[in-house]
Amino acid sequence: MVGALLAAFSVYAVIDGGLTLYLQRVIDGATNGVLYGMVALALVLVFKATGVINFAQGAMAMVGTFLAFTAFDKWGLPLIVAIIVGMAISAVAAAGIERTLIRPFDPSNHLAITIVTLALYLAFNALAALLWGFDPRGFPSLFPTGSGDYLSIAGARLYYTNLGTALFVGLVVLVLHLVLSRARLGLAFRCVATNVESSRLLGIHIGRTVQGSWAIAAAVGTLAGCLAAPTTYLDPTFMDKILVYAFAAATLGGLDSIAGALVGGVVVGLSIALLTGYIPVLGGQFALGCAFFVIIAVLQFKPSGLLGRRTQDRV
Amino acid sequence: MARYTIDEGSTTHRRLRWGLGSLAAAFLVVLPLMIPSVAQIETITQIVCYSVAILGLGLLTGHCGQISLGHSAFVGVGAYTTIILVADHGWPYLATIPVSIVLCLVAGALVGIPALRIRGLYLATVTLAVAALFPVLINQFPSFTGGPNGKFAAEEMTAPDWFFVNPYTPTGPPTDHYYAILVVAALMFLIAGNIVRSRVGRAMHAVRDAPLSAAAAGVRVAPVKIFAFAVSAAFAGVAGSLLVIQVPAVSDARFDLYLSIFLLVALIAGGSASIWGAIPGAIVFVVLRTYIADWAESLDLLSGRPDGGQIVGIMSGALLIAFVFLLPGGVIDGLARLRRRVVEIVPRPPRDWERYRNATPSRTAQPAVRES
Repeated sequence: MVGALLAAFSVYAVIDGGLTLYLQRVIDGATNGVLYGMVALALVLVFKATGVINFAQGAMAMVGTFLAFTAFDKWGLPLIVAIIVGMAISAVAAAGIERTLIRPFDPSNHLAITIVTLALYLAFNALAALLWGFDPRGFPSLFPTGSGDYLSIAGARLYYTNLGTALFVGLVVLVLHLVLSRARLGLAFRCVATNVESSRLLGIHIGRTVQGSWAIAAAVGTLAGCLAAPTTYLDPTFMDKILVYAFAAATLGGLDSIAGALVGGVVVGLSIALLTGYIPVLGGQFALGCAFFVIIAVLQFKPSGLLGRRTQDRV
Repeated sequence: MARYTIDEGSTTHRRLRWGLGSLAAAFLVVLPLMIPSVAQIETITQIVCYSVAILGLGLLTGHCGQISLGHSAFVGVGAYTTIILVADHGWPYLATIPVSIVLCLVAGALVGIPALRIRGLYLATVTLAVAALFPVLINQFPSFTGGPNGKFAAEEMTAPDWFFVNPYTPTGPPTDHYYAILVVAALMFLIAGNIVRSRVGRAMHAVRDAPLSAAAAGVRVAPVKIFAFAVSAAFAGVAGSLLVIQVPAVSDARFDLYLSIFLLVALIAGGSASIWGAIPGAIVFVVLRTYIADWAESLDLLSGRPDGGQIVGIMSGALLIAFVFLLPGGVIDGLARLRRRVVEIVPRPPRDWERYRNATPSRTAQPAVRES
C-alpha cells in the first residue's frame, strides 16, 4: 500500500514539475536523509547497549564538530586529520561521561539516565555557546564544492559533495556492521543488548561494553556533524533540527537496527524533500511537521519500526 | 529516631493537617499585602503560574513514569487560546480557561496516541518533535497568532467592584491578578491530589513502577498513559492561560524546547513524586530564570558580549545531575526527611486487616471461594 501511494505520488510529482525537478528533489532528500540516518545510527548504538535514548547525542556531536573546526582553523591541521582528532576527543569524552555520570545508576533506571542525558544536552549547548558564540561559521567540505563539480543525471545535478557524503556514510556503516558482526567487541555488544544478566555470567564486562558503545556513538555523531556542517553552517544550534529528524529516522527504523536507522534516515529525508517540495501549503518551515507525521503514521501501522525486532518481555 | 509519633487519621493528625493547611492558606493570602514592590508580587505570581505547569508535568513524569519534552507547546496552546479569545473575541479572561483545558486535553491525547504503540520512554522522542513544531506553527498562521511579533490584549483583567483590594494603588492590579491566579492554581492542586488518590491514579503508579505487571493485573496500560498525557497537557494549558492573565502578551519565542527542559529541571529539583513538589520546583524555576540569569549577566564573563543565559544553562544541567544523584526525591523529599526526624506519622493499617491476619489457612487444598 505504501509502495502504491509512493508510486502515485511520484507520477503526480513528475507531471506537476517535470522529471528533472523530481530527480533533483530525490537526490537532495536522499543526501540529507543519509546524514539523518548517521545521527540515528549513533542513537541506535547507545540504545541497543543500554535501552536509553541519548538526548545529548546531537549536542555532543555539535561540540565534537566545533573541536574539529578548531583543530582545522586554529591549529592548521589538514581537514581530514582535524575531523579524526575531533572524533577521537569526543569518543574519549563520551567514555568519561559514561563512566562518571551513567554507570553509577542502575541500568534499568531508564528515567534517571534519560534525565541525565537531558542535563548533558543543556550543559553542552550552553558550554558551546559560551566558548564559540552564536555567529554561524562556514565549515569546509571534504569534497570539491565548485559550481561545476557535479554529475548530470537527466538534467538533475548530483554534486560530488552529496555523492562523497553518501559514500562516506556507506563506508562507516559497512565498517560498523563488520565490527559488530565479526569482531569480539561486536559479539560482546550484541550479548549485552540481548541479555544483561546472562552476559555478566559469561564474564563480559558490562560497564566497559556500554562505555564502548558510547564512545563509538560519539565518534559517529561527530563525523555526521562534520559532514553536515558544510551545508548548514556551524553554530551551537545546528544539530538540534538534525536531531529531531534523526529521532524520526531511528523510530522509523525500529531503534534497535543499524540498517533500519539508515533506511529510516533516507525515508525521512525523502519524505521531507518531496512533501515540502510538492505541497505548497506545507512550506519550507514545515519540514519538522512532516517528520512528526511520518513518525506517527509509521507507529500506527508498524510499531516495531521498519526493520526493528518485535520483542517480548516476561513478567 | 523521631521525637514524636502520630497515628495517621488520629485526631491529632487531622488537627495538625488542618492547622498547617489553614496557616499556609493564610500566608498565601496575606503575602502580597505585605510586599510593597510590584516586581516582587509579579515574581510570586509567576511562581504560582509555573507551579501549575510543573504540577501537570509531575502527574506525567512522577506518577506515570513518562517523559514529555512537549509541555512548552501545551503551555503555549493555553496561552494563545486565552490571548486570542480575549483580544479578538472579547471574552473575559477567566472564561477562557475551560477552553484551554479542552483544547489541551485533545492535543495531549493526540500526542499521547502513539503511546498505544510505543513502550518505555520512546514517547519522549515524539514529544521533542512537538516542542520543536510549536513555534513553527505559530509563525505559519500570523493573521491568527500574530506570528513573530507576538500578540497583545488591550485591556488587562480587572477585578469586580466588591473585591477587597483597591485597584487604584500601584500594587493594586498585580495583587488582583495574584488572587485570581492563586484561586485557579489551588483548584488545580486539589484536582491533581484527587487524581493521584483515585483508581486511575493508582493505575498510573502501577504503570510507572512495573508496566508489565500492571498489564498482567488488568490495567490497560495505553489508555492510562494517554489519560496521564492528556490531563498533564491540560494542566500545562491552564498554566499558559494563567501566564496570560498575569501579563496579557505572548510571543512564540517563549514556548520553545528550553521551556520544556527547564520545566523538567524544576520538576526534578522540586520533587516529582509528590504533588507539593511543584511549589519548590516553581521557585527553583523562577529563581533560575530571573535572579540567577541577572546575576550571570552582571558577572560579564564574555567581556561585553551578551551571554544569552548560558551560565544558567550550565548551572541547570549541573543542578539536574546533582539532584538525580544526591536527592532523587527533590527538595520536597529532603524536607520530608527533616520532618521525620521530629514527627513520625505512622501510616494507617488497611481496613479489616486483623480479620485477615487471624483467618486460619483453609484445610482443603482448593482455593478459597469468595462468599458473596
